[in-house]
Amino acid sequence: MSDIAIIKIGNKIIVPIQNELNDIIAEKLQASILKTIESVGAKGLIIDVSTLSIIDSFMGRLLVDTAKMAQLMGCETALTGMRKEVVLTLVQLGLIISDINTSLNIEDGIELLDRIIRGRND
Amino acid sequence: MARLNEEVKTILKSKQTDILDLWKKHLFTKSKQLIELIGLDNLNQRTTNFLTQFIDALSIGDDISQENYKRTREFLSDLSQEMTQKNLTPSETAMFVFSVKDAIFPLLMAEFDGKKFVKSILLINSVIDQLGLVTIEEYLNSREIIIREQQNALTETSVPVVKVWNKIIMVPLVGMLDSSRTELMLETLLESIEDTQAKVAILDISGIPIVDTLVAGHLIKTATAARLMGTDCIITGIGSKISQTMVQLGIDLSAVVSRTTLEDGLKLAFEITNQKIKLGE
Repeated sequence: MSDIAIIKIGNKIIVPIQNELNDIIAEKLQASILKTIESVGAKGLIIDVSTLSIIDSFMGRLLVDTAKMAQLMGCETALTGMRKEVVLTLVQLGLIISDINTSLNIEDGIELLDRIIRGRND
Repeated sequence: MARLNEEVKTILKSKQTDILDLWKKHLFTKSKQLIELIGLDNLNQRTTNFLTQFIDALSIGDDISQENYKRTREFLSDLSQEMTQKNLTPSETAMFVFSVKDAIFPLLMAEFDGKKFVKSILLINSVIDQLGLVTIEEYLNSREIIIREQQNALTETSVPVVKVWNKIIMVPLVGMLDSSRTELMLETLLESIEDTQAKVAILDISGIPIVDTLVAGHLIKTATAARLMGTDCIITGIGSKISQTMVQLGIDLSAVVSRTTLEDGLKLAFEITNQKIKLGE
């Protein structure tokens, strides 16, 4: 069972992923994130991966997919705190995660999402 | 294993002074520079040493990888290293060894004839050739060492990452951007992004003479990596020539923001980070 906290702050949800996930738990996590977005009507989703030292192709795609799914539900996503080892491997493997907002840390992520959400409402 | 006939060895020993004189005469005509670098006193000592060691070793065998040639090999390696450092050509250093032939052969020719002569000549010839190769190999080794040292010095200084302002860092790129340097740049850049939590990274390519598809690929890769960490990348220093070649080559840099001058890049960086400079009176 996934014991990853899904925290709601204001109109946003923050998901700090703190240990390496196997594929099954990752998929479960995706489902529960989306369920939470639905139930609380979140406008923003922040997935923090600052403690992960490995993001493989499956995890990468899952994250991008989650962002796309959230987008469909009217929720903007920011992936925050990707570590340099992670980025290096992703780039070297050619697994470029595009189409997703990224930020240095959660704080910047919140700021970024605020800006995007504000722009959308205008 | 072939080795030198006792008779021949005795002759060589007894005629050692003659051989030395002849050898030095040849050296004086063929490799003046070498003699100048070694110095006359030193030359006498070295040639004498070499010849003694050489004749002794010859009488044991003709395989220069063996123990009996150890001192001769070391002597030549040292000589070659020294000469390489003094910028002498490898041929001149090798000539030092090869001219021994010119000194020994005429003497042997006067003493012997027929089969014994040919046998000794062949033996001495093959050993000296091998010894000549030792000097050339040593030359290459010394060069390799120099090249490696320079390469290290270059990579160490090649990618400085400068913190320009709060949340803004800059990488001035100079020279050719090959794959290994890109790797290094990427690593250093990402590391300093992590350390400084910079929001904008400026890559200044004013110092890169040619931007081809490969270099552009490296730049895009770097920008993408920075983007993944959550940092915006601005490429500055794209002059008229570079922009022309880029478009002609069909390179698409639209994914990355670019500016002509570092000044414009900095301005943009201030805008992105929501900062302003107030100039005091």
